[in-house]
Amino acid sequence: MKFITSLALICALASSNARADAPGSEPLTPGSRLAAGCAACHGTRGISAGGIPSLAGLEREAILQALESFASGTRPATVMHHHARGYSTAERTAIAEYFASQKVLLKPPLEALQ
Amino acid sequence: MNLERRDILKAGSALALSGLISACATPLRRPAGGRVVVVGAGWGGATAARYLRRWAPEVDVTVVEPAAAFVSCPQSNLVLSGGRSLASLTHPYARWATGHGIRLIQERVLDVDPERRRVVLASGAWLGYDRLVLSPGVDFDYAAVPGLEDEAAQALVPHAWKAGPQTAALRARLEKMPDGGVFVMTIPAAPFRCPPGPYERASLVAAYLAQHKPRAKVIVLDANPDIVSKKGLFRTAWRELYPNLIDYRPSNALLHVDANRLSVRTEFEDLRADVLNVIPPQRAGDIARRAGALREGEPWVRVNFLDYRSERVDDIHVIGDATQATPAPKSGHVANQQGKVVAAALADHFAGRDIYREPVLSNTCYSFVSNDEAFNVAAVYRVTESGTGLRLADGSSGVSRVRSAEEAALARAWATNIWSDMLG
Repeated sequence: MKFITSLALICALASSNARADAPGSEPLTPGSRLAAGCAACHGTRGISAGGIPSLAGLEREAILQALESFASGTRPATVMHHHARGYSTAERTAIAEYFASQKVLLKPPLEALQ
Repeated sequence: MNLERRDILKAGSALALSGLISACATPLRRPAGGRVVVVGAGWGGATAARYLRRWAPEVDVTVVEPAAAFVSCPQSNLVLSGGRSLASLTHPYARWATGHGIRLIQERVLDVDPERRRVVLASGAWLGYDRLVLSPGVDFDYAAVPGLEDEAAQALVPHAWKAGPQTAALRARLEKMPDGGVFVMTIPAAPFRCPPGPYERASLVAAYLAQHKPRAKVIVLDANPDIVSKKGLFRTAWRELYPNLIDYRPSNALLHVDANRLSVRTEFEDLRADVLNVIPPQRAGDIARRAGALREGEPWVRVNFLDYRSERVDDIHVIGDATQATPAPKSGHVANQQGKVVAAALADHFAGRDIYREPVLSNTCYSFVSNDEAFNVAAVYRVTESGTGLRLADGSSGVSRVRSAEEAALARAWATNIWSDMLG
């Protein structure tokens, strides 16, 4: 029995799941690396599942301006002043460019979570 | 099942050598992009698998996880106070894996053979890898809790420090507790999973008791000299929301537990509880030790923070609570961030790109003090020059000014979004 299970498993493992044209794939750039950190709260690719603003498709200048004013403390925040200060101006710019370039607004698959 | 390592490995290789693999319909082959096995589909492992498929779709990703569903530890203290259901914390893995082209094997990993780059499963089968990601979380060090060494005793004293049936068990004991009873909880010496978690628990148990058993008390026996995280915010909340309900006793390490009598002994006192909750001391999940990733006598895994590879074993990367990542806390948010850094590093590796020198991690960690109010600590971490440490980014760290209903709503939105980012 154990033997058959093992054999079935090894057979299952023989076929590869790798495919280069996978849906949802994206190039790895300095912007996508940094913005992935933001996705924890703002949603994957900046598409929020609710309760925290989406960033996908916003204007580059608007995102950058928000980050700069959080960092300088001129815009009040609960967490964003701490986050914005952790990045350099160049990094904040790369983050703004990444989210501005996310033009497609899709419904997040787990929106029914709560 | 207490198999010796060599027996397990022998079982695996005997199977391979017997030529049975040729019985498979598809011949074994190496995918062009490389094979990655991820052990554990918690905050770190699930995120790593999903983002690796996103950034390196040519890489073959297999996740080994014994549970059929993810259950969130963050916000599970709200189950104790009635602010959340256990179902709201639970998310099955099956559709997630299919949707991202992740091969999911619902099994326990018994062992790792780093020399042959194989993971041995509980069934006796093995999986080959080019790179292995261990995200094993924590194991409890019950040997360090006299009186709770055996499983029968442990069953009488829920830890509720891994969410699921343990959480439900602790809630059930609270419901049965008489009014006027005493809830005793013990906190191990830091570091442990979720630094503010024990104090959030004390708050939310107090919230439940204040509503349902107003004559009951909470006694917190802390091995640490003071509240480990968000100290001022917890102290203020306890004073204002639960006056005289929470009795906090620092520098009061647990020495012995009598699980049948529900009594505990510390250096200073003997106490009997109506409900006893022992949060045990912790260390890296045991598979990290079996893989050879731990230094002798150390509880947590040392890694290079550019790519999370173990300092000790080739081709093995370790992420999440199992790592020695101070000053970053052992939080779900940090594990999510580490999962993305390791995914990017593996994508770079298989594509032949140079190692990326500037990964950044953030942490946002909310604690509830009632069903309606919460506060946060937030910070950004960067990698030290040597790559072997993390440091706080200048000026990036701080806590909320006050607790608020606004932050409770944000905390719930945080959970929805980060679960979706891992498992959506």
